[in-house]
Amino acid sequence: MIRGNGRMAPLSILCFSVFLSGAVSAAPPSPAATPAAPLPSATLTATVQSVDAQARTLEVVTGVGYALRVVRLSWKEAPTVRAAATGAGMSQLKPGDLVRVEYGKAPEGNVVKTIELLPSPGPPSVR
Amino acid sequence: MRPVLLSLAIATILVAAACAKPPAPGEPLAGLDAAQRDQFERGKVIFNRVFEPETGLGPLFNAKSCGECHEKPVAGGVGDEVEVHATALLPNGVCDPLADLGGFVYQQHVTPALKNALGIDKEPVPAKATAQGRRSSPDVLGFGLLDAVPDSEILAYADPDDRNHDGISGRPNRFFDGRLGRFGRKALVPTLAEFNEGAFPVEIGITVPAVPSEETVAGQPIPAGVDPVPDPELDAQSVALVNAFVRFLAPPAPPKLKGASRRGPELFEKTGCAACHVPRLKTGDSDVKALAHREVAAYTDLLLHDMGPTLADICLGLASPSEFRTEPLMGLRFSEKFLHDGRAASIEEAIRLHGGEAVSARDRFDSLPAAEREALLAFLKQL
Repeated sequence: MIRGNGRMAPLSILCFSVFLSGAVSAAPPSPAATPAAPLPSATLTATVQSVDAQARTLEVVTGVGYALRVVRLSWKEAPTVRAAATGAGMSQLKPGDLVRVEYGKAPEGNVVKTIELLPSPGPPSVR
Repeated sequence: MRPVLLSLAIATILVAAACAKPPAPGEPLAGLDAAQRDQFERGKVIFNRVFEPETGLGPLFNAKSCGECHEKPVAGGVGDEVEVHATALLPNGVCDPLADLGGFVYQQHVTPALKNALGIDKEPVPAKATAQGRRSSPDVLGFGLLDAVPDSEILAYADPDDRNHDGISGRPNRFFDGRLGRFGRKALVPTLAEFNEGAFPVEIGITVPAVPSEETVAGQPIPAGVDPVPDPELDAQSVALVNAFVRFLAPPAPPKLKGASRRGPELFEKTGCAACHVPRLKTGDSDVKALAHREVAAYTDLLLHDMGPTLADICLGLASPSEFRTEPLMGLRFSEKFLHDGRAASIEEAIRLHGGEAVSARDRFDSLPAAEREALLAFLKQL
């Protein structure tokens, strides 16, 4: 489900602070900031659309009413997926899973910090 | 004040309250304060505002104003517009809302600038879609009361495994963040405000602070220069006023049952219609006194039910192609076409198209003596 056209502009335009659930805390701007300064972070709860463990990318669906948007995230060092049952790996996430993601907003995009697999809200749409 | 005079005054107030005429269609709820009525009136103006490309319309759109689709007999009523939705049901049973391919609403109109740029008359449905559905425009009268019904009230009617063996197994839909949904024909959207805010970009192509980017054309960005109006194209205050207008619209007045239709409520129960079309829901706490702890004659449980293969179209969220939210019957008196896609020309035809969990109720309706069937239909036409 990962599309190869590299289209990121609409998502960059998207104002995460309003559109996505969760608080955004801006890093204090400082001329003396070092590369280790914490990235501005945000959290969102959304449904997994796709996971590419090899490319280390994750796409989730969220939105406002009928206006849906895909948020693309990546990870550098594989975060542990927190779940009730077990600490699963990212590759065990699958489309349709409900997740809460904390991520940093880096110049190269959204970088996953922590991810939590939430209880399934219900059976899949085919009954 | 003497006790006699006091009693007289109280009695007069009670009689006046009892005799107060319920709001007419399109009027605000009774009991709003002056500030809320002011918001209602100002919001109504924006609800009816006709947008043009130079004020932000499009580039993709289904209508030029909210009032274009919700217009009969008053602003907030029904419309004759029918839009197109599409999604993909994946082999693993998960529903893909095609969020990266323009979303599941495929706009039926484009601005001249987009037509010049891409040569299209409407948004193309991507090949990945496995199903399309048509959606008529319902009335939204009284929807502020539906918004104020607590989740717990809705969940109390859910019986996903049909543990009571009545053949009815309603279950809630969930939005993509897991919250319980209730608005839209598949009960996807959790709140009225979100439904309204999402409708601006999706239906009119008007960006708002909560959704400050335009819809894509089946996944492709809008070509440069096609939509020069800065985003957001509508400010937060205007959106809030429209929300107030829709939220404060009074529900249709209770029907004045006469003649045979007086048996309607009893027959509605007897046939089993009321198992899903729950006659009354109760609202919970609200910051608006006129919405708090009220009974609303909604005739819905706001849950998903299997309606059978004849009506099945798209999946959405947790809803399978054949699952639809029980349509609220309040305001049925204003409808000229029926069911989610307007395929039924009469209430009777709509009932006969009910399948799945509704088969028993449909069959009981069919087996009613003609006089009782007519009485039930007469009642329904007054809701």
